[in-house]
Amino acid sequence: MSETDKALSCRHASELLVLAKPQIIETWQKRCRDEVPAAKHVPRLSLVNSLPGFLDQMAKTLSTPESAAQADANAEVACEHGEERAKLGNYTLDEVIREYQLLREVIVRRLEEERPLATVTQEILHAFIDRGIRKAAARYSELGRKELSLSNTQLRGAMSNLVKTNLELEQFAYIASHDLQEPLRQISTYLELLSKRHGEKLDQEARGFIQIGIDSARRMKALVEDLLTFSRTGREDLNYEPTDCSLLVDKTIADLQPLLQASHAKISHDSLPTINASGALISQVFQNLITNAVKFRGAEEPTVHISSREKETEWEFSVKDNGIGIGKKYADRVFLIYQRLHGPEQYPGTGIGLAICKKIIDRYEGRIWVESEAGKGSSFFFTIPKRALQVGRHP
Amino acid sequence: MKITILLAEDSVADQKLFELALEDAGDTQLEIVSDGSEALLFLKKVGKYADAPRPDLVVLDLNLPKVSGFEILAEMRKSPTLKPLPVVLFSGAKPTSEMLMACEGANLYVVKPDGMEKYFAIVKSLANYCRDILKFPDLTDQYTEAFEPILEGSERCDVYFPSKRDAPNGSLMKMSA
Repeated sequence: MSETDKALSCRHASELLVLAKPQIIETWQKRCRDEVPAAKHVPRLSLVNSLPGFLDQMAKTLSTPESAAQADANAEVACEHGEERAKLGNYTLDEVIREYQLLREVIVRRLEEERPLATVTQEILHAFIDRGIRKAAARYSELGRKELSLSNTQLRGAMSNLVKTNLELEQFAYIASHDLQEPLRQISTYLELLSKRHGEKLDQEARGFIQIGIDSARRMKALVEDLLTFSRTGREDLNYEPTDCSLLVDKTIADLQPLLQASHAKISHDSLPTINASGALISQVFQNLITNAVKFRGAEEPTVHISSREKETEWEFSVKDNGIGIGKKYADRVFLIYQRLHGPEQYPGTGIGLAICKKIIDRYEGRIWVESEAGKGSSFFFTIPKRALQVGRHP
Repeated sequence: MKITILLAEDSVADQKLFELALEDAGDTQLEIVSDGSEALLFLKKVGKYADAPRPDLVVLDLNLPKVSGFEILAEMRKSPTLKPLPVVLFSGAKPTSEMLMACEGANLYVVKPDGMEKYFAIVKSLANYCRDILKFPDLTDQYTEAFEPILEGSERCDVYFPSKRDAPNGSLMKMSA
Protein backbone atom coordinates (compact mmCIF):
# COMPACT_ATOMS: atom_id res chain seq x y z
CA MET A 1 0.00 0.00 0.00
CA SER A 2 1.48 3.33 -1.02
CA GLU A 3 1.82 6.44 1.15
CA THR A 4 -0.79 8.24 -0.96
CA ASP A 5 -3.32 5.47 -0.45
CA LYS A 6 -2.76 5.61 3.26
CA ALA A 7 -3.13 9.37 3.42
CA LEU A 8 -6.22 9.32 1.32
CA SER A 9 -7.72 6.62 3.27
CA CYS A 10 -7.22 8.52 6.49
CA ARG A 11 -8.33 11.77 4.97
CA HIS A 12 -11.32 10.03 3.42
CA ALA A 13 -12.28 8.56 6.72
CA SER A 14 -11.89 11.96 8.33
CA GLU A 15 -14.19 13.64 5.81
CA LEU A 16 -16.71 10.88 6.04
CA LEU A 17 -16.71 11.12 9.81
CA VAL A 18 -17.62 14.81 9.66
CA LEU A 19 -20.35 14.18 7.13
CA ALA A 20 -21.85 11.17 8.91
CA LYS A 21 -21.58 12.69 12.38
CA PRO A 22 -25.35 13.18 12.96
CA GLN A 23 -26.09 9.68 11.71
CA ILE A 24 -23.35 8.13 13.84
CA ILE A 25 -24.58 9.95 16.95
CA GLU A 26 -28.14 8.87 16.26
CA THR A 27 -27.22 5.20 15.79
CA TRP A 28 -24.90 5.23 18.79
CA GLN A 29 -27.55 6.81 20.97
CA LYS A 30 -30.07 4.17 20.04
CA ARG A 31 -27.67 1.32 20.72
CA CYS A 32 -26.65 2.80 24.06
CA ARG A 33 -30.23 2.97 25.19
CA ASP A 34 -30.71 -0.66 24.18
CA GLU A 35 -27.45 -2.08 25.46
CA VAL A 36 -26.25 0.07 28.37
CA PRO A 37 -28.67 -0.14 31.28
CA ALA A 38 -27.56 3.16 32.84
CA ALA A 39 -28.17 5.00 29.55
CA LYS A 40 -31.75 3.89 29.24
CA HIS A 41 -33.41 6.92 30.81
CA VAL A 42 -30.68 9.54 30.41
CA PRO A 43 -31.98 12.60 28.51
CA ARG A 44 -30.62 12.97 24.96
CA LEU A 45 -28.53 16.04 25.75
CA SER A 46 -26.75 14.37 28.68
CA LEU A 47 -26.29 11.15 26.79
CA VAL A 48 -24.68 12.77 23.78
CA ASN A 49 -22.95 15.63 25.62
CA SER A 50 -19.30 15.86 24.42
CA LEU A 51 -19.62 13.22 21.71
CA PRO A 52 -19.83 15.66 18.76
CA GLY A 53 -16.62 17.29 20.01
CA PHE A 54 -14.98 13.89 20.36
CA LEU A 55 -15.91 12.98 16.79
CA ASP A 56 -14.55 16.34 15.54
CA GLN A 57 -11.26 15.66 17.30
CA MET A 58 -11.17 12.15 15.87
CA ALA A 59 -11.65 13.59 12.36
CA LYS A 60 -8.86 16.09 13.03
CA THR A 61 -6.53 13.36 14.21
CA LEU A 62 -7.26 11.25 11.13
CA SER A 63 -6.54 14.16 8.84
CA THR A 64 -3.17 14.89 10.47
CA PRO A 65 -2.08 11.47 11.72
CA GLU A 66 1.61 12.23 12.36
CA SER A 67 1.90 13.18 16.00
CA ALA A 68 0.86 10.84 18.81
CA ALA A 69 1.18 13.72 21.28
CA GLN A 70 -1.27 15.73 19.21
CA ALA A 71 -3.65 12.76 19.06
CA ASP A 72 -3.48 12.50 22.81
CA ALA A 73 -4.31 16.18 23.23
CA ASN A 74 -7.17 15.82 20.76
CA ALA A 75 -8.65 12.96 22.75
CA GLU A 76 -8.68 15.16 25.85
CA VAL A 77 -12.35 15.94 25.24
CA ALA A 78 -13.20 12.42 26.39
CA CYS A 79 -12.41 13.52 29.94
CA GLU A 80 -15.54 15.62 29.79
CA HIS A 81 -17.50 12.55 28.92
CA GLY A 82 -16.09 10.61 31.86
CA GLU A 83 -16.89 13.52 34.13
CA GLU A 84 -20.47 13.74 32.90
CA ARG A 85 -20.96 10.04 33.46
CA ALA A 86 -19.56 10.21 36.99
CA LYS A 87 -21.95 13.07 37.76
CA LEU A 88 -24.93 11.16 36.43
CA GLY A 89 -24.27 8.82 39.31
CA ASN A 90 -25.91 5.68 37.93
CA TYR A 91 -23.07 4.64 35.62
CA THR A 92 -20.59 1.92 36.40
CA LEU A 93 -17.11 2.08 34.92
CA ASP A 94 -18.00 -0.87 32.71
CA GLU A 95 -20.91 1.06 31.31
CA VAL A 96 -18.76 4.11 30.57
CA ILE A 97 -16.34 1.88 28.64
CA ARG A 98 -19.17 0.02 26.96
CA GLU A 99 -20.45 3.29 25.47
CA TYR A 100 -17.05 3.85 23.80
CA GLN A 101 -16.97 0.30 22.51
CA LEU A 102 -20.38 0.87 20.96
CA LEU A 103 -19.09 4.09 19.43
CA ARG A 104 -16.17 2.16 17.95
CA GLU A 105 -18.54 -0.36 16.38
CA VAL A 106 -20.90 2.29 15.01
CA ILE A 107 -18.07 4.32 13.47
CA VAL A 108 -16.28 1.35 11.93
CA ARG A 109 -19.49 -0.05 10.53
CA ARG A 110 -20.49 3.32 9.05
CA LEU A 111 -17.05 3.92 7.49
CA GLU A 112 -16.84 0.40 6.07
CA GLU A 113 -20.11 0.97 4.25
CA GLU A 114 -17.98 3.11 1.90
CA ARG A 115 -15.00 0.80 1.59
CA PRO A 116 -12.75 -1.33 3.76
CA LEU A 117 -10.54 0.72 6.06
CA ALA A 118 -6.82 0.91 5.41
CA THR A 119 -4.81 -0.71 8.15
CA VAL A 120 -3.34 2.58 9.23
CA THR A 121 -6.77 4.20 9.37
CA GLN A 122 -7.94 1.34 11.56
CA GLU A 123 -4.89 1.76 13.79
CA ILE A 124 -5.34 5.50 14.21
CA LEU A 125 -9.06 5.14 14.73
CA HIS A 126 -8.74 2.43 17.35
CA ALA A 127 -5.85 4.16 19.07
CA PHE A 128 -7.89 7.34 19.31
CA ILE A 129 -10.91 5.58 20.77
CA ASP A 130 -8.63 3.73 23.20
CA ARG A 131 -7.21 7.09 24.32
CA GLY A 132 -10.76 8.35 24.72
CA ILE A 133 -11.68 5.33 26.85
CA ARG A 134 -8.61 5.75 29.04
CA LYS A 135 -9.26 9.43 29.61
CA ALA A 136 -12.97 9.04 30.25
CA ALA A 137 -12.39 6.10 32.56
CA ALA A 138 -9.62 7.87 34.46
CA ARG A 139 -11.74 10.96 34.97
CA TYR A 140 -14.75 8.88 35.90
CA SER A 141 -12.80 6.90 38.51
CA GLU A 142 -11.15 9.97 39.94
CA LEU A 143 -14.49 11.69 40.49
CA GLY A 144 -16.05 8.45 41.60
CA ARG A 145 -13.43 8.05 44.33
CA LYS A 146 -14.12 11.55 45.59
CA GLU A 147 -17.83 10.85 45.62
CA LEU A 148 -17.16 7.58 47.35
CA SER A 149 -15.07 9.11 50.10
CA LEU A 150 -17.69 11.80 50.49
CA SER A 151 -20.41 9.21 50.78
CA ASN A 152 -18.25 7.27 53.25
CA THR A 153 -18.11 10.34 55.48
CA GLN A 154 -21.84 10.74 55.14
CA LEU A 155 -22.27 7.07 55.90
CA ARG A 156 -20.21 7.35 59.06
CA GLY A 157 -22.29 10.34 60.09
CA ALA A 158 -25.48 8.45 59.45
CA MET A 159 -24.14 5.43 61.35
CA SER A 160 -23.30 7.46 64.41
CA ASN A 161 -26.75 9.05 64.28
CA LEU A 162 -28.24 5.61 63.99
CA VAL A 163 -26.32 4.33 66.99
CA LYS A 164 -27.47 7.34 68.97
CA THR A 165 -31.08 6.94 67.93
CA ASN A 166 -30.89 3.28 68.78
CA LEU A 167 -29.55 4.02 72.25
CA GLU A 168 -32.27 6.60 72.80
CA LEU A 169 -34.86 4.16 71.60
CA GLU A 170 -33.66 1.45 73.95
CA GLN A 171 -33.58 3.91 76.81
CA PHE A 172 -37.05 5.05 75.84
CA ALA A 173 -38.38 1.50 75.78
CA TYR A 174 -36.86 0.82 79.18
CA ILE A 175 -38.12 3.99 80.82
CA ALA A 176 -41.52 3.79 79.17
CA SER A 177 -42.10 0.22 80.19
CA HIS A 178 -40.78 0.86 83.68
CA ASP A 179 -42.94 3.91 84.27
CA LEU A 180 -45.97 2.34 82.64
CA GLN A 181 -46.01 -0.41 85.23
CA GLU A 182 -46.91 1.90 88.09
CA PRO A 183 -50.25 3.32 86.84
CA LEU A 184 -51.08 -0.07 85.41
CA ARG A 185 -50.70 -1.71 88.79
CA GLN A 186 -52.95 0.99 90.23
CA ILE A 187 -55.61 0.55 87.56
CA SER A 188 -55.87 -3.18 88.13
CA THR A 189 -55.77 -2.83 91.90
CA TYR A 190 -58.58 -0.27 91.90
CA LEU A 191 -60.68 -2.33 89.50
CA GLU A 192 -60.25 -5.25 91.85
CA LEU A 193 -61.17 -3.06 94.78
CA LEU A 194 -64.27 -1.86 92.94
CA SER A 195 -65.29 -5.40 92.14
CA LYS A 196 -64.63 -6.80 95.65
CA ARG A 197 -66.15 -3.97 97.63
CA HIS A 198 -68.98 -2.83 95.40
CA GLY A 199 -69.51 -5.73 93.04
CA GLU A 200 -72.69 -6.85 94.79
CA LYS A 201 -74.31 -3.47 94.22
CA LEU A 202 -73.65 -3.70 90.49
CA ASP A 203 -75.62 -5.68 87.92
CA GLN A 204 -74.07 -8.45 85.90
CA GLU A 205 -73.27 -6.23 82.93
CA ALA A 206 -71.35 -3.75 85.10
CA ARG A 207 -69.41 -6.59 86.71
CA GLY A 208 -68.62 -7.87 83.23
CA PHE A 209 -67.21 -4.48 82.29
CA ILE A 210 -64.97 -4.48 85.34
CA GLN A 211 -63.73 -7.95 84.47
CA ILE A 212 -62.87 -6.83 80.95
CA GLY A 213 -60.95 -3.92 82.47
CA ILE A 214 -59.06 -6.28 84.78
CA ASP A 215 -58.22 -8.67 81.93
CA SER A 216 -57.05 -5.83 79.70
CA ALA A 217 -54.85 -4.41 82.43
CA ARG A 218 -53.40 -7.89 82.98
CA ARG A 219 -52.66 -8.23 79.30
CA MET A 220 -51.04 -4.82 79.15
CA LYS A 221 -48.95 -5.72 82.15
CA ALA A 222 -47.65 -8.77 80.29
CA LEU A 223 -46.85 -6.59 77.25
CA VAL A 224 -45.06 -4.01 79.34
CA GLU A 225 -43.06 -6.65 81.19
CA ASP A 226 -42.05 -8.23 77.90
CA LEU A 227 -41.05 -4.87 76.49
CA LEU A 228 -38.88 -4.43 79.55
CA THR A 229 -37.31 -7.86 79.06
CA PHE A 230 -36.78 -7.10 75.38
CA SER A 231 -35.09 -3.78 76.02
CA ARG A 232 -32.98 -5.35 78.77
CA THR A 233 -31.83 -8.02 76.33
CA GLY A 234 -30.52 -5.24 74.11
CA ARG A 235 -28.76 -3.43 76.93
CA GLU A 236 -27.15 -6.24 78.85
CA ASP A 237 -23.41 -6.62 78.46
CA LEU A 238 -22.50 -9.37 76.03
CA ASN A 239 -20.57 -12.03 77.85
CA TYR A 240 -18.23 -14.45 76.19
CA GLU A 241 -17.73 -17.57 78.23
CA PRO A 242 -17.19 -21.17 77.18
CA THR A 243 -20.68 -22.64 77.20
CA ASP A 244 -21.24 -26.36 76.79
CA CYS A 245 -24.51 -26.42 74.88
CA SER A 246 -25.26 -30.06 75.75
CA LEU A 247 -25.20 -29.21 79.44
CA LEU A 248 -27.00 -25.96 78.79
CA VAL A 249 -29.85 -27.65 76.91
CA ASP A 250 -30.13 -30.35 79.62
CA LYS A 251 -30.45 -27.65 82.23
CA THR A 252 -32.96 -25.71 80.15
CA ILE A 253 -35.04 -28.86 79.72
CA ALA A 254 -34.90 -29.46 83.48
CA ASP A 255 -36.09 -25.89 84.10
CA LEU A 256 -39.01 -26.43 81.73
CA GLN A 257 -40.08 -29.76 83.31
CA PRO A 258 -43.51 -28.58 84.55
CA LEU A 259 -44.46 -27.37 81.06
CA LEU A 260 -42.97 -30.40 79.31
CA GLN A 261 -44.68 -32.88 81.59
CA ALA A 262 -48.03 -31.13 81.32
CA SER A 263 -47.90 -31.40 77.54
CA HIS A 264 -46.23 -34.86 77.43
CA ALA A 265 -43.49 -33.35 75.29
CA LYS A 266 -40.43 -35.37 74.33
CA ILE A 267 -37.26 -33.35 73.96
CA SER A 268 -34.03 -34.87 72.65
CA HIS A 269 -30.72 -33.51 71.52
CA ASP A 270 -27.53 -34.60 69.83
CA SER A 271 -24.15 -33.96 71.34
CA LEU A 272 -23.82 -30.18 71.10
CA PRO A 273 -20.65 -28.10 70.90
CA THR A 274 -19.09 -25.72 73.38
CA ILE A 275 -19.45 -22.17 72.14
CA ASN A 276 -18.16 -18.90 73.47
CA ALA A 277 -21.24 -16.91 74.49
CA SER A 278 -23.26 -16.07 77.54
CA GLY A 279 -24.86 -19.24 78.94
CA ALA A 280 -27.75 -17.22 80.32
CA LEU A 281 -28.59 -15.60 76.97
CA ILE A 282 -28.17 -18.75 74.87
CA SER A 283 -30.23 -20.68 77.41
CA GLN A 284 -32.93 -18.06 76.91
CA VAL A 285 -32.83 -18.74 73.16
CA PHE A 286 -33.20 -22.52 73.66
CA GLN A 287 -35.87 -21.99 76.28
CA ASN A 288 -37.96 -19.74 74.02
CA LEU A 289 -37.57 -22.05 71.03
CA ILE A 290 -38.47 -25.18 73.03
CA THR A 291 -41.40 -23.43 74.72
CA ASN A 292 -42.70 -22.29 71.34
CA ALA A 293 -42.30 -25.74 69.84
CA VAL A 294 -44.38 -27.21 72.66
CA LYS A 295 -46.91 -24.39 72.75
CA PHE A 296 -47.66 -24.50 69.03
CA ARG A 297 -48.18 -28.23 69.04
CA GLY A 298 -50.29 -30.17 66.63
CA ALA A 299 -52.61 -33.05 67.42
CA GLU A 300 -49.72 -35.44 68.20
CA GLU A 301 -47.69 -35.27 71.39
CA PRO A 302 -44.99 -32.68 70.85
CA THR A 303 -41.51 -33.92 70.04
CA VAL A 304 -38.58 -31.57 69.76
CA HIS A 305 -35.09 -32.41 68.60
CA ILE A 306 -32.08 -30.15 68.93
CA SER A 307 -28.98 -30.70 66.84
CA SER A 308 -26.00 -28.80 65.55
CA ARG A 309 -23.80 -28.70 62.49
CA GLU A 310 -20.25 -27.47 62.32
CA LYS A 311 -19.58 -25.07 59.50
CA GLU A 312 -16.42 -23.33 58.46
CA THR A 313 -16.91 -20.12 60.43
CA GLU A 314 -19.91 -20.85 62.60
CA TRP A 315 -22.00 -23.38 64.47
CA GLU A 316 -25.49 -23.94 63.17
CA PHE A 317 -28.09 -25.11 65.68
CA SER A 318 -31.53 -26.39 64.83
CA VAL A 319 -34.62 -26.93 66.94
CA LYS A 320 -37.03 -29.13 65.04
CA ASP A 321 -40.60 -29.83 66.11
CA ASN A 322 -43.73 -31.61 64.89
CA GLY A 323 -46.05 -28.72 65.69
CA ILE A 324 -48.51 -26.72 63.60
CA GLY A 325 -45.78 -25.07 61.53
CA ILE A 326 -45.64 -21.60 60.07
CA GLY A 327 -46.81 -20.55 56.61
CA LYS A 328 -43.91 -19.44 54.41
CA LYS A 329 -45.11 -15.86 54.13
CA TYR A 330 -44.94 -15.46 57.91
CA ALA A 331 -41.45 -16.88 58.23
CA ASP A 332 -39.82 -13.47 58.73
CA ARG A 333 -42.65 -11.83 60.57
CA VAL A 334 -42.53 -14.19 63.52
CA PHE A 335 -39.25 -12.64 64.67
CA LEU A 336 -40.74 -9.15 65.02
CA ILE A 337 -41.72 -7.88 68.45
CA TYR A 338 -45.38 -8.44 69.37
CA GLN A 339 -46.13 -10.18 66.07
CA ARG A 340 -48.54 -12.98 66.62
CA LEU A 341 -50.06 -15.32 64.11
CA HIS A 342 -52.83 -16.50 66.40
CA GLY A 343 -55.27 -14.85 68.76
CA PRO A 344 -54.38 -14.83 72.47
CA GLU A 345 -57.37 -17.09 73.18
CA GLN A 346 -55.94 -19.76 70.86
CA TYR A 347 -52.33 -19.60 72.02
CA PRO A 348 -51.47 -17.40 75.01
CA GLY A 349 -48.48 -15.06 75.00
CA THR A 350 -47.52 -11.64 73.80
CA GLY A 351 -45.39 -12.57 70.81
CA ILE A 352 -42.07 -11.57 72.28
CA GLY A 353 -40.21 -14.88 72.58
CA LEU A 354 -38.80 -15.05 69.07
CA ALA A 355 -38.05 -11.31 69.02
CA ILE A 356 -35.89 -11.86 72.09
CA CYS A 357 -34.18 -14.85 70.41
CA LYS A 358 -33.45 -12.71 67.37
CA LYS A 359 -32.09 -9.88 69.46
CA ILE A 360 -29.73 -12.22 71.31
CA ILE A 361 -28.53 -13.96 68.14
CA ASP A 362 -28.17 -10.60 66.34
CA ARG A 363 -26.00 -9.34 69.16
CA TYR A 364 -23.71 -12.35 68.75
CA GLU A 365 -23.64 -11.61 65.03
CA GLY A 366 -25.34 -14.84 64.15
CA ARG A 367 -28.47 -15.46 62.08
CA ILE A 368 -31.81 -16.93 63.00
CA TRP A 369 -34.50 -18.22 60.67
CA VAL A 370 -37.24 -20.74 60.36
CA GLU A 371 -37.96 -23.38 57.77
CA SER A 372 -41.47 -24.63 57.97
CA GLU A 373 -44.69 -25.45 56.26
CA ALA A 374 -48.07 -24.98 57.82
CA GLY A 375 -49.14 -28.29 59.32
CA LYS A 376 -45.76 -29.96 58.92
CA GLY A 377 -43.78 -28.75 61.89
CA SER A 378 -41.06 -26.16 62.06
CA SER A 379 -37.29 -26.14 62.19
CA PHE A 380 -35.76 -23.08 63.78
CA PHE A 381 -32.12 -22.50 62.93
CA PHE A 382 -29.61 -20.15 64.43
CA THR A 383 -25.90 -19.66 64.02
CA ILE A 384 -23.20 -18.49 66.38
CA PRO A 385 -19.95 -17.40 64.72
CA LYS A 386 -16.97 -19.48 65.73
CA ARG A 387 -14.67 -16.52 65.80
CA ALA A 388 -16.30 -15.64 69.07
CA LEU A 389 -14.43 -18.67 70.44
CA GLN A 390 -11.11 -17.08 69.64
CA VAL A 391 -12.08 -13.81 71.25
CA GLY A 392 -11.69 -15.46 74.59
CA ARG A 393 -13.08 -14.29 77.84
CA HIS A 394 -13.99 -10.65 77.88
CA PRO A 395 -13.31 -8.57 80.98
CA MET B 1 -50.78 -0.73 120.26
CA LYS B 2 -51.32 2.50 118.38
CA ILE B 3 -48.63 3.33 115.89
CA THR B 4 -47.95 6.36 113.73
CA ILE B 5 -46.78 5.85 110.15
CA LEU B 6 -45.38 8.53 107.87
CA LEU B 7 -45.97 7.75 104.21
CA ALA B 8 -44.04 9.73 101.60
CA GLU B 9 -45.87 8.98 98.35
CA ASP B 10 -46.61 11.25 95.42
CA SER B 11 -49.23 9.10 93.73
CA VAL B 12 -52.72 9.86 95.05
CA ALA B 13 -53.84 6.41 93.95
CA ASP B 14 -51.21 4.77 96.13
CA GLN B 15 -51.87 7.13 99.06
CA LYS B 16 -55.51 6.11 99.05
CA LEU B 17 -54.67 2.41 98.71
CA PHE B 18 -52.30 2.58 101.66
CA GLU B 19 -54.92 4.35 103.71
CA LEU B 20 -57.60 1.78 102.82
CA ALA B 21 -55.22 -1.08 103.58
CA LEU B 22 -54.46 0.31 107.03
CA GLU B 23 -58.15 0.28 107.92
CA ASP B 24 -57.92 -3.31 109.11
CA ALA B 25 -54.38 -3.09 110.46
CA GLY B 26 -55.27 -2.20 113.99
CA ASP B 27 -54.91 1.16 115.66
CA THR B 28 -52.84 3.32 113.34
CA GLN B 29 -52.40 6.96 112.56
CA LEU B 30 -51.32 7.72 109.00
CA GLU B 31 -49.52 10.90 108.03
CA ILE B 32 -49.00 11.52 104.34
CA VAL B 33 -46.60 13.83 102.50
CA SER B 34 -46.42 14.04 98.69
CA ASP B 35 -42.82 14.90 98.05
CA GLY B 36 -39.35 14.34 99.44
CA SER B 37 -38.68 17.78 100.79
CA GLU B 38 -42.00 17.78 102.67
CA ALA B 39 -40.99 14.45 104.18
CA LEU B 40 -37.77 15.95 105.52
CA LEU B 41 -39.59 19.02 106.87
CA PHE B 42 -42.09 16.70 108.59
CA LEU B 43 -39.38 14.55 110.13
CA LYS B 44 -37.37 17.58 111.27
CA LYS B 45 -40.53 19.34 112.50
CA VAL B 46 -39.84 22.45 110.49
CA GLY B 47 -42.38 25.26 109.81
CA LYS B 48 -45.95 23.99 109.52
CA TYR B 49 -44.75 20.62 110.79
CA ALA B 50 -43.55 22.03 114.14
CA ASP B 51 -46.18 19.97 115.94
CA ALA B 52 -45.88 16.89 113.77
CA PRO B 53 -45.82 13.59 115.66
CA ARG B 54 -42.69 11.47 115.64
CA PRO B 55 -43.58 8.48 113.45
CA ASP B 56 -42.92 4.90 114.55
CA LEU B 57 -42.35 3.85 110.94
CA VAL B 58 -41.35 5.80 107.83
CA VAL B 59 -42.52 4.41 104.49
CA LEU B 60 -40.79 5.97 101.48
CA ASP B 61 -41.61 5.73 97.82
CA LEU B 62 -38.35 5.88 95.88
CA ASN B 63 -39.40 8.12 93.00
CA LEU B 64 -40.47 11.21 94.87
CA PRO B 65 -40.51 14.76 93.51
CA LYS B 66 -37.71 17.09 94.66
CA VAL B 67 -35.93 14.72 97.05
CA SER B 68 -35.87 10.99 96.30
CA GLY B 69 -36.50 8.24 98.80
CA PHE B 70 -32.78 7.37 98.70
CA GLU B 71 -31.87 10.93 99.61
CA ILE B 72 -34.36 11.08 102.46
CA LEU B 73 -32.89 7.85 103.77
CA ALA B 74 -29.33 9.20 103.57
CA GLU B 75 -30.39 12.43 105.30
CA MET B 76 -32.12 10.49 108.08
CA ARG B 77 -29.07 8.29 108.65
CA LYS B 78 -26.93 11.39 109.15
CA SER B 79 -29.22 12.81 111.81
CA PRO B 80 -28.76 11.39 115.34
CA THR B 81 -32.42 11.94 116.19
CA LEU B 82 -33.81 10.40 112.98
CA LYS B 83 -31.29 7.57 112.70
CA PRO B 84 -33.14 5.13 114.97
CA LEU B 85 -36.43 5.43 113.04
CA PRO B 86 -37.31 2.29 111.08
CA VAL B 87 -37.53 2.95 107.36
CA VAL B 88 -39.29 0.90 104.71
CA LEU B 89 -38.62 1.62 101.05
CA PHE B 90 -41.82 0.91 99.14
CA SER B 91 -41.25 0.88 95.43
CA GLY B 92 -42.84 -0.36 92.21
CA ALA B 93 -39.49 -1.64 90.93
CA LYS B 94 -37.81 -4.91 91.85
CA PRO B 95 -34.44 -3.97 93.35
CA THR B 96 -31.17 -4.81 91.69
CA SER B 97 -28.28 -5.78 93.96
CA GLU B 98 -26.82 -2.30 93.38
CA MET B 99 -30.08 -0.77 94.55
CA LEU B 100 -30.10 -2.89 97.68
CA MET B 101 -26.56 -1.77 98.38
CA ALA B 102 -27.60 1.85 97.95
CA CYS B 103 -30.40 1.56 100.47
CA GLU B 104 -28.47 -0.27 103.12
CA GLY B 105 -29.64 2.08 105.87
CA ALA B 106 -33.24 0.99 105.39
CA ASN B 107 -34.89 -1.80 107.37
CA LEU B 108 -36.83 -3.18 104.47
CA TYR B 109 -37.22 -2.89 100.74
CA VAL B 110 -40.71 -3.92 99.71
CA VAL B 111 -41.92 -4.17 96.13
CA LYS B 112 -45.40 -2.73 95.65
CA PRO B 113 -47.35 -5.82 94.72
CA ASP B 114 -49.82 -6.37 91.95
CA GLY B 115 -53.34 -7.01 93.02
CA MET B 116 -55.41 -5.70 95.84
CA GLU B 117 -55.16 -8.69 98.19
CA LYS B 118 -51.40 -8.65 98.19
CA TYR B 119 -51.24 -4.90 98.56
CA PHE B 120 -53.53 -4.98 101.58
CA ALA B 121 -51.70 -7.94 103.10
CA ILE B 122 -48.34 -6.29 102.77
CA VAL B 123 -49.40 -2.98 104.29
CA LYS B 124 -50.91 -4.88 107.20
CA SER B 125 -47.68 -6.82 107.62
CA LEU B 126 -45.70 -3.58 107.68
CA ALA B 127 -47.87 -2.22 110.47
CA ASN B 128 -47.44 -5.44 112.43
CA TYR B 129 -43.69 -5.48 111.77
CA CYS B 130 -43.60 -1.97 113.21
CA ARG B 131 -45.37 -3.21 116.35
CA ASP B 132 -43.01 -6.22 116.59
CA ILE B 133 -39.84 -4.16 116.51
CA LEU B 134 -41.21 -1.58 118.92
CA LYS B 135 -41.55 -4.46 121.36
CA PHE B 136 -38.37 -6.32 120.34
CA PRO B 137 -35.87 -3.85 118.85
CA ASP B 138 -33.39 -6.69 118.23
CA LEU B 139 -35.61 -8.12 115.53
CA THR B 140 -35.37 -5.24 113.07
CA ASP B 141 -33.59 -7.34 110.47
CA GLN B 142 -35.59 -10.53 110.86
CA TYR B 143 -38.68 -11.91 109.25
CA THR B 144 -40.93 -11.55 112.25
CA GLU B 145 -44.29 -13.26 112.45
CA ALA B 146 -45.76 -10.13 110.92
CA PHE B 147 -44.54 -11.36 107.55
CA GLU B 148 -46.04 -14.79 107.80
CA PRO B 149 -49.10 -13.97 105.67
CA ILE B 150 -47.04 -12.47 102.86
CA LEU B 151 -44.14 -14.90 102.72
CA GLU B 152 -46.14 -18.01 102.15
CA GLY B 153 -48.48 -19.32 99.54
CA SER B 154 -50.07 -17.27 96.83
CA GLU B 155 -49.78 -14.02 98.74
CA ARG B 156 -46.01 -14.24 98.69
CA CYS B 157 -44.49 -10.79 98.25
CA ASP B 158 -41.08 -9.39 97.52
CA VAL B 159 -39.57 -8.24 100.80
CA TYR B 160 -35.85 -7.62 101.14
CA PHE B 161 -33.60 -6.76 104.04
CA PRO B 162 -31.07 -4.42 102.46
CA SER B 163 -28.66 -4.96 105.35
CA LYS B 164 -28.48 -8.65 104.42
CA ARG B 165 -29.05 -8.13 100.72
CA ASP B 166 -31.45 -10.90 101.26
CA ALA B 167 -34.06 -12.25 98.92
CA PRO B 168 -37.44 -12.99 100.47
CA ASN B 169 -36.69 -16.61 101.21
CA GLY B 170 -35.18 -16.14 104.65
CA SER B 171 -36.73 -18.33 107.26
CA LEU B 172 -39.43 -16.93 109.41
CA MET B 173 -38.36 -15.76 112.85
CA LYS B 174 -40.84 -17.19 115.31
CA MET B 175 -41.12 -15.04 118.37
CA SER B 176 -41.45 -16.92 121.55
CA ALA B 177 -42.72 -13.96 123.49
